[in-house]
Amino acid sequence: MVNSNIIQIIDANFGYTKHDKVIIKNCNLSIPTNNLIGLIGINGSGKSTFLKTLSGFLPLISGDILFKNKSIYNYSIQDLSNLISITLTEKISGFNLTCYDAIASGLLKESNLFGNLNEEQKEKINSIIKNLNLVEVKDLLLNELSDGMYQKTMIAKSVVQNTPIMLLDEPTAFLDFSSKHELFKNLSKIATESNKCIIVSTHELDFVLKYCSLVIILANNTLNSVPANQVLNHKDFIQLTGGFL
Amino acid sequence: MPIAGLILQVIFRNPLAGPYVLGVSSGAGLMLALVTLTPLTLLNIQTPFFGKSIIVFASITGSIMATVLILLISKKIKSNVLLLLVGIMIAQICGALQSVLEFLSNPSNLKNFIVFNMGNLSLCNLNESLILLGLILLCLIILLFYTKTLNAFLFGEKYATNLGFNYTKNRFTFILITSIITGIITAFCGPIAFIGIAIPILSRWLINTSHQGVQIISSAMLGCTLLLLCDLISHNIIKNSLVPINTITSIVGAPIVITLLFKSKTW
Repeated sequence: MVNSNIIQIIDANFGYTKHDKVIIKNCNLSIPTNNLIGLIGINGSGKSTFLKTLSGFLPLISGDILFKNKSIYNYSIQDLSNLISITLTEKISGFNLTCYDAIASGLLKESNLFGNLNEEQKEKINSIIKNLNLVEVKDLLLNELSDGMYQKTMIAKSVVQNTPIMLLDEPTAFLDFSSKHELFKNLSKIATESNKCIIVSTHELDFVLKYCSLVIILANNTLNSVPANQVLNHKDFIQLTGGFL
Repeated sequence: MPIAGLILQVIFRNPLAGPYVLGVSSGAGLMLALVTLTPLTLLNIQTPFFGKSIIVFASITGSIMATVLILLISKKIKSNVLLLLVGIMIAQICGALQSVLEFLSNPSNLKNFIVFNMGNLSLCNLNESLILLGLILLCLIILLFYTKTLNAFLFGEKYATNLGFNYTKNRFTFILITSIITGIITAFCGPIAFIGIAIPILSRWLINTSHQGVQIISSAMLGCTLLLLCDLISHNIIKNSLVPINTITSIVGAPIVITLLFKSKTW
């Protein structure tokens, strides 16, 4: 069956096999490309589990995930890295790593034997740095960057990696209002301009409503996807906000 | 040794990792004690080439065993600080077992072993040095081919995997190579303290790049220079006598580590 959805989740149970702990039950979901998707839910609802499973770090308890109609289990680490790029909550620093190093790491596997990039690749990195306004900070060490700049750096890394799917785990934590705003604006621009499927887990419901086209709500061990313009009336969303919004 | 230290620091993403601190050197030392101090194998060791091979082999086995133990434990615990503590404990256990062996052995063997354990560059003659050089160069060249992977490892397990590098498989290779390096060096020169941890930190501070290929080479060269300097001091500080090189490397190395950790904005 040929299908335009880049991600298809079929009868999947997400969770930890070791402790027999199912976190998301009986999930069926199709995600089209060219979308900025907000992943929302209270703390512990399974946002991170969902993203970890999609990025291949955590096996499904049952069911399957298809990327481009091919099961996640049939992808090698190499192939997955061409398909999905991730941005994590954990902060990386040290070892003289600069903002530029982190961004360039997106192309590391395509570099030569000793990890050096050719002119064309460098140019590509530099143009992305320019697009995201990171020129001034590109030579700073990672731990000298502000939280906003750090998040932008890691997003730039994902853009450099140039994968059709981008997963971001709570990129807006620790950011001030205008940085959050800028980040979501950038993401929605990337999604539409480069035809990508970007999934962002976040607690920023107002930004999700403003920028995302699709919302995935995690509540009571179930997952629902709702178009952003209908989300306000969804019962899980009302429960999530406690009726305040 | 600084290369082994460098790799371990990258794997554990912690500047305090090093073969001496994590117990890898101690593992090698314990196996050496087992081979040299127990009467069973004493006969074999007297023969020049065969004896040396046994010593090298024992020492590599010891360091690999210690590293594998640390790795197994590192799968259970995520925290690097805890892991270092475990490493220190492993070093303690190896040290204690070694003391038992020392206590039970005869005096002449014991003295040789203790002198050996303080580290001594003049333990090996020219031929042995050449063998040592060859083996270490080989490991160095192999590692240079892994530059890319080491660069990816800087970003931690998840990012490295997501960038298309097989973390578990490569980590195993790195551990194996570091164990071999540590084992070989310990067999030839005894456990050399502090060079493994201090030099990579020094190198990162002096040469401001995250490119691990460059860091490997600069660490190797800095390590040679500093160790020879320590050796020079150890030969000349007291007239007609040799101060064990480990005392010098510790006296020189520890302050370097402390100063650099304070000074550098990033480790």
